[in-house]
Amino acid sequence: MAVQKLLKAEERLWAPEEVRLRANLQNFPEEYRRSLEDPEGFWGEWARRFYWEKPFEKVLEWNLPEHRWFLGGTTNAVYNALERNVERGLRNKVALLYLSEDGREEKLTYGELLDRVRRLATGLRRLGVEKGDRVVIYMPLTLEGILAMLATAYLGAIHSVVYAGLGVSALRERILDAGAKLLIAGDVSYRRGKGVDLRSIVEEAIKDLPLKVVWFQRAFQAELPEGHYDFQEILWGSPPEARAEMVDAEHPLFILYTSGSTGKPKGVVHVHGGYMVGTTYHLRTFFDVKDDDVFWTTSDIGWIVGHSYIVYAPLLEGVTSLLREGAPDYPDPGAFWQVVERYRVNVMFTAPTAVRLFMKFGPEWPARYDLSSLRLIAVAGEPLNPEALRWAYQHLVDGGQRGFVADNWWQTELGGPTLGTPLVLPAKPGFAGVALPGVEAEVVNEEGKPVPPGQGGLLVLKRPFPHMMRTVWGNHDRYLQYWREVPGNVYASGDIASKDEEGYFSVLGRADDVLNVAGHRIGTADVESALVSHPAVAEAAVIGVPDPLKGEAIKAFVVLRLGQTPSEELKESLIAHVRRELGPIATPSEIVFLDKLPKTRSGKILRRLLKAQELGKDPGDLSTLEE
Amino acid sequence: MARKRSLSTVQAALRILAYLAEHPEGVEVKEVARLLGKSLSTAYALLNSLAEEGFAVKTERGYRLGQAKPLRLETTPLEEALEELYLRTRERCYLALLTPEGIRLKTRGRQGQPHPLGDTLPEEVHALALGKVLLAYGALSLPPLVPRTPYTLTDPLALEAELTRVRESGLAAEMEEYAPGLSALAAPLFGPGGELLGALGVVVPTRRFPFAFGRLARALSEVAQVSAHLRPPEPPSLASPLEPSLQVEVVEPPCALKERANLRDYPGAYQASLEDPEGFFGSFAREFHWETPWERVYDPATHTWFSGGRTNAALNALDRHLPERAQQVALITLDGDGHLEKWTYRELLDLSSRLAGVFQNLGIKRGDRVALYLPTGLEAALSLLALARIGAVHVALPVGLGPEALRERLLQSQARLLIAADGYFRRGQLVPLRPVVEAALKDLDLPVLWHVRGSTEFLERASEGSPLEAVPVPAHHPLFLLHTSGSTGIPKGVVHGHGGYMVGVSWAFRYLFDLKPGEVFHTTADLFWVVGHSFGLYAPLFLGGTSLLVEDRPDHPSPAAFYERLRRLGVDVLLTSPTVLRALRRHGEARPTSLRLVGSVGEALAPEVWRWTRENLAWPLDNWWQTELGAPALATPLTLPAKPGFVGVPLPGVEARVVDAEGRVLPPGAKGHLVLLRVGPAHMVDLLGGESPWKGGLYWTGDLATWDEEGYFRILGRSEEVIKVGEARLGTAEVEAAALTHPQVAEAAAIGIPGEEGEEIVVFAVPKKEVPEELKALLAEKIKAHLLRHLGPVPPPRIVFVERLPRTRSGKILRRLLKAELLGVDPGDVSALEEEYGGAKAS
Repeated sequence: MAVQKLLKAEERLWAPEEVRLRANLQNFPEEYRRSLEDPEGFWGEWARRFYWEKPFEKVLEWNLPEHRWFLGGTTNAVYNALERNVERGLRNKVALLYLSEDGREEKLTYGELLDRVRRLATGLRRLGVEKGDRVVIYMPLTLEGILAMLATAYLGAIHSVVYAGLGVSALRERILDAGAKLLIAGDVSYRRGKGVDLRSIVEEAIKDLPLKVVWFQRAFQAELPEGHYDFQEILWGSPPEARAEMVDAEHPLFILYTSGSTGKPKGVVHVHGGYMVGTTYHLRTFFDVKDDDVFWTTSDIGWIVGHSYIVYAPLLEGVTSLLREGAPDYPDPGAFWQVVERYRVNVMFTAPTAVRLFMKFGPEWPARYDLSSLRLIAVAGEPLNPEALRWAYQHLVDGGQRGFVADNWWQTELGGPTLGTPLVLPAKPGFAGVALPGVEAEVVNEEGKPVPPGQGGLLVLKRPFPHMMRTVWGNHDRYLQYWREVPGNVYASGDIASKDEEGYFSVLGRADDVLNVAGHRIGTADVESALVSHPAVAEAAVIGVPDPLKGEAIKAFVVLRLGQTPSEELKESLIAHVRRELGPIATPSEIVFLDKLPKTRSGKILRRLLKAQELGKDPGDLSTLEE
Repeated sequence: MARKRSLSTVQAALRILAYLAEHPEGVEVKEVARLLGKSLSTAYALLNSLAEEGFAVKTERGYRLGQAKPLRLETTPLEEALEELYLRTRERCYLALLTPEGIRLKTRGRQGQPHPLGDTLPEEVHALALGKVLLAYGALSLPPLVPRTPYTLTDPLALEAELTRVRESGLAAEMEEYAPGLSALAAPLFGPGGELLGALGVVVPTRRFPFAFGRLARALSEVAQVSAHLRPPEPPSLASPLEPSLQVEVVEPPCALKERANLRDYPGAYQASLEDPEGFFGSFAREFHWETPWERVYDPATHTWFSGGRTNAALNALDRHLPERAQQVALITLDGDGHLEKWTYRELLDLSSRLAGVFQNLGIKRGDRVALYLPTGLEAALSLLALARIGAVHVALPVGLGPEALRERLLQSQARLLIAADGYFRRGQLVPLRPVVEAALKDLDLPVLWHVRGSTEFLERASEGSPLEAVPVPAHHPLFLLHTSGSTGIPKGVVHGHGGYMVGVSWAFRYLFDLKPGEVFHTTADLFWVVGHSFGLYAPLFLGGTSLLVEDRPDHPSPAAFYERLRRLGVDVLLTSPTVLRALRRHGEARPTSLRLVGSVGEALAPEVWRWTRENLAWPLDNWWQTELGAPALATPLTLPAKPGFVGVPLPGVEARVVDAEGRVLPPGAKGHLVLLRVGPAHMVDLLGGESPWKGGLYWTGDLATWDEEGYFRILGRSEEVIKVGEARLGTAEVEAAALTHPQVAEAAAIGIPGEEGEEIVVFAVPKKEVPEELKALLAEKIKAHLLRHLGPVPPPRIVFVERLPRTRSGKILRRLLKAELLGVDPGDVSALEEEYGGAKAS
C-alpha cells in the first residue's frame, strides 16, 4: 500500500536503557505467550490483587460471542479504588490532582475522596438511585464529575457520562436510550477563559422528560425547580453513611456511548469485575506506572480514555491521577509543559491531535520547561503519523535519552490498550505496535482469511479479554453484529490495518462511514441528520478530509430546499445548528452547496465519490452511480 | 501503677491524725470524708475507732486530737521511705524495721510482682540483700548457713568478705536471692544519731538487674539518706500537705482507644526507658537516617543525647520519605484568606531544597542564625525546613510582636537574615507588618527577605534556587532557637538540636499522641511556638504524617467553621490549649467531628474543661512540658486512667518529683516545686540569656505541683504565681480551676494583691453570658461562696468581672498585667500580649 512506502521500515526508536531496565514488565514475549496459553491463570492472578467479597469460582466462560469473567465473584470497582487503598495506608495520598481552567489547583486524597463519595452516594440514594439504575452525567472535567461517576458506581448504579461538548440531541438521545432516572449536570464548562453554557443545552435536552436533575453550579446559583437539586447541597448535606454495594463481577459499571455508521449511538457496556482487572493490568504493564508516579491523562471523563485512565485504573492502583480542565494551548502553548514541570508528571497519556498541535507551535515551547520527570508519553485515539511520533520522541523525551513515546490503539468497546508499543520493544513510526497481552489480533480480508504481511485488511480480534464490552445497552443484536461482520467468530474493530513480519500493526483508518476527528469517533450519519433537521436543508452528505491537526475534518455537502439560496449567512447558520445539536466536536469545518448529491441507483449517497473528488483521487468502481 | 490503689485503713487513720493535729479547733466528719475521698459513714467509723483508742476526742464541733500517743507514728518516716523508694523505682520494695519485738518486714510493690516473703524474715536471711545489710551492721547474729539457691554464700569467709564490701559501699547486692531469677539491692537506714533503724531493699528480675542497677542504687542511697528527714522539721513551705479542694475522679479511657494504642505497656516502656535508654530510645532512633551512628544514646551527667551521631532534621523530615511518600500530603495549609492547599512530600522537598539554595546564595551558612517573622503557613514551614537543611539555625519570632520586642530578639539572636511577611491575618483582617519590621530594623544592617501577602513571589523565588542536599550535622548541632513566651518577664533563648529533638518529638507523636499511619494531625498552636515547631511541623514530617496548619484563630470565623474544617479534612488528633478549649466551651455544644483524641497543653487543664472536652470533642490527653523540654514530659498515656485535674505521669525518659524549696522530696499529697531528675531526648542543647533550670542535679520547672500515690502529677501554676493568703499558699491555677467549676464562669484568672492577711485573692472572671449590671453583685457573691466551698478556709476572694483576659499569644494568662492594672502600676514588658486585649474592665 501507498502509506507503507512512506515508512522507513528499518527505523527503530528505543526507550532509554534505564527506563527499560526499570520497566514493570520486563519479559514481554513471555508475558504475552502466557496470557494466551493460560488466560485463566494469567487474569485470575491479576484479579486476586483486588478485594472480592465473594471470590470468583471460575475466571472465564467463553461462548463466543458471549464472554463472562470472574464468575461467581462479587466485588465493587469503587470499593477497590477507595476503601481498599485507604485501608492499605494511602488515606493521605493524593488521589486526584485537579487543575481548573483558571489555574487553580485542588488535591483530593484517597481519604477525602472516600468521604465525599460516601456522602454523595448517600445523597443519590435519598434521591432514589438504586442498584442497576442509570444515571447520566453531563459534567465538565472536574472533581465533581468524577465524584458523580464514583458515587453512582458505589451504589451499584450504572453511570453514563455524556461528554459535555455534545449538543442537545446527542444528550437527549443518550438519556432516552439509557432510560436514565437521574441526570447530574454542570451549568457551565470553561475553555480558553470563557464559560460555555451547558444549562440551556441540558434544559432543552430534558424538556418533558420525567427526570430528576442534580446541578453542579459554578457560574451562578440558580433557583431550582422541583425535582432539581444543587450538587454541593446533596454532597455536603448528606452524611458519609453509604457503603459500597457489592455486585456480581458481571454487573454493569457504566454505559458509554460511541458513534456508529448507522446513526444511532451504541451504548457500550462495561462491567465491574473484568474492567477493573484489565484496565489496571495495562496501567502497570503498558503505561508502566509506579506507585509514586504522577500520571496525567489529558483526555476528558466523557471518553473511554478518561473513564479508564483518568478515573478507574489510576484510582484502583492507588496512584496519583492528574486532570486538567481546558485547552492544551491556553493560556499559552507552554501550558502543558508547565504542568509537567510543576507537578513532576512521570507518565502522560495524550492524543495524536495534541502532539500535532505541539508540533505546530514548535520545540521551543517544551524546551522552556524542565521535563526531566517525564518518562513515558503514551498516545492513542487515532493513527499517530510518523512525523508526529518522531517529533515527540525528539523534543519531548530528549530523543529517547530520557523517555519513550508509546503509541497504542484501542476503542470504547475495548476498555484499554489493545495494540501498542510496550517500552521494552522499539517503536516503529507509523505502527501502533504489537498485540498486547491477552490480545489476539489479525488482519483479514472480507472472508475472514488472514492477509499476507504488509497488506491492508480488516483489523479483527480473535478472542475477548476481561475489559472488553459485554453488550450494547438495550440492543444485544448490535453487540452480536460486532462478532458477525467478519466470518470466523471474530470481533470486527471497523478499522483497516496492516501487519508486518514482526507482528507490528499499522492502523490506517475506518472501514466504515465513521470519522475520526481529533480522536473522537463521529458518525457521518449523525452529522447528516443534524444538517437535514435544519429547515433550509433537503439533503446532506458528509465526508472526512485530512486535517493537519485533527487528523480528519468534517466537510459537508448540502442540497438546499427549493426557494433557499446559498449564502455565507446560511452556512454559518448551518454550522451553528449542528454545533447546537451535536456539540462543537462534530461541527463541519466546511460546507459546500450542491444541486444534487451523487447517489447509487438504490438511492445511497456515494460518499466515496465525493471523497475521491475532494482528494483528487481515482474514485474507483462507479458502476452503481446513478446517472 | 495504672490501677487506683485505695487507701488502707492504717494509712487513712494516719492521715486523719495528721489532719487533726493541724486543726486543733476541731474537724467535722464531712471534712474527714472529703479528705479521704470516702463516704461519711466510713469517716464516722474511722473516727469512732480512733476515739475508742483515745487518739481522738469528740467535741461539739466534730473531733480533736486525743491525748494518747500512737506508738507507730514514730516509724512513719521510715514507712514513707518505703513509699518513696517504690515511687522512684516502681519495683517491689522491702523495709526491714528493727523494733523491740524483733525485725518487722514491710513491703510495697505493684501487683504481679513476686511477694513470697511473710511479715518476718526467713531463717535463711543471709541469702537476702536485706539480710546482708542487717548482718553487716551487726543487727543479726550469724545464723546457720542454709543454702537457698546454688549461689547462696555458705562459706563463712566468703560471707565475711562480702559483708565487708557491704559496709564499705553502703549497699548490698544479691544476684540470685531466695530463688533463681531474682536479684536485689539493699541499703541500711540510720537514725539521726547514727543508729541502725533497719534496711531498705528492692527486688527485680535478674535479667533486668544489670540495666536497673545504676538507677536502683541511686534511688536506694538517696532515699536511705533523706529518710530520717523525710518529715521536714518545720512545716513545709506550702501550708497544708494535703489537698482538700479537688475531688479526684478516675476515668477509664474508652476501650477502643486503649486497645489500639500505639503504646500498650506504659509501665514497661517507662521502666525500660530509664533502665536501658540505649535500648529503648536507641532502637526507636534507628528508624531515622543517621549519616554517622551515635556513640552513646544518653549521657546522664550532661543530659546529652546521641553524642557522636550525625544526621539532619530536614533530611529525616523529607528526603527519608521519598519516593514512597512522594504523593502523600505532608502539609495542609489554610491561610487567613481562606485558601486551602495541600502539599505533598515531593513538593515540600523540591521547594525547600531550592529555597535552601536561595539562602545559600544570600550567604547563609551552617550555624548562622536566621530570624523569621512569618505567620503560620507554607512559607514559614518551607523556610524552617530549608534552613535546617543547610544546618542554619532558625529563630522564629511570634508575629504581632511589637517593634521594640522584635528588635530586642533580633539583636539577642544575632540573626544574619530576617524572613518577614508584610502582613498576617487575624480574625479575617489583614494586619500590616511592614511598618513593625521597618521600625524594628531602624539603623540595623539586617537584610530582609519579604513574603508579600497575596502574591506568589516568595514561592517563585524559592523555586528558582538550585536544590541543595541536606548537610549532615552532629546530633547536638543547633536546629532552632525559640524564645520562651513572656509570661514571666525577660525572654530566654532556648536552643534545640537536630538529633535528640527529632527522636524525642517523634516518640511523643507516635506513642503519646498515638498517631497511626494515614491519620491527619492538627495543632492550633502557631508555627512560631514550640508546640508548632514540634507538632505542627517536625514530628508529623519526621514520621511521614500529615499535618494541618491554620493561620487564623481556630474559632474564626466561627466555632462551627472550626468543627466543619476538622470534619471535612478528617482530622483525627488535635493538639490545642485550654484557652482554645475554654473558648469553644463558651460557645456551647460542639458539632460532630472525626476527632479521636484532643491533646491539651500550655497550662493546667481544669477538670471542668476536661469533662467538656470529653463529652463534646473526644478523649482529652492532658500533657505538660516547656519550650526547654521540646516535647511532653508529663502526660496521661492512653492506656492509663485519666484523673481530670492531674496532668498525668512522667513519660519515658523523664523522672519527676515534688520537692520543697531545699530540694527535699515531698510525700504524695504535698504541694511543692515540680522538679525533674531526668529529661527526655528532646531536651534543649543550649540556653541563651537566662539562668539554667538545672540546679543541684535537678531541673527546676518553676511550676508548683502535687502528686498522688500513684505518681500522677497535678500542676498548680507557676511558683511565682502563688498567692499567699494567711498561712495558705494557693496556686493561681487551683483557684482558677475552682472558679471554672461554677456554671456561670467561662474563663478565670486569679492573682494575689497585698491585703490584710498577707495577700488577698482577686479572681477575674469572664461570665459565660453577659451579666446585667444589677445582677453582678449577686453573681459575685455566689461565685465567692462557691470558691470558699472549694478552697477551704481562706479569706473571701474578690471577684472582678471582665469581658476577656489578657493572654500571651501562646494563650497564657498575663496575670502580671491584671495585677498592674488593678494596682495602677507599670505592667512592664507586655510585648507578648495578644493584640485583641483591650484592658480589663473592673466592675
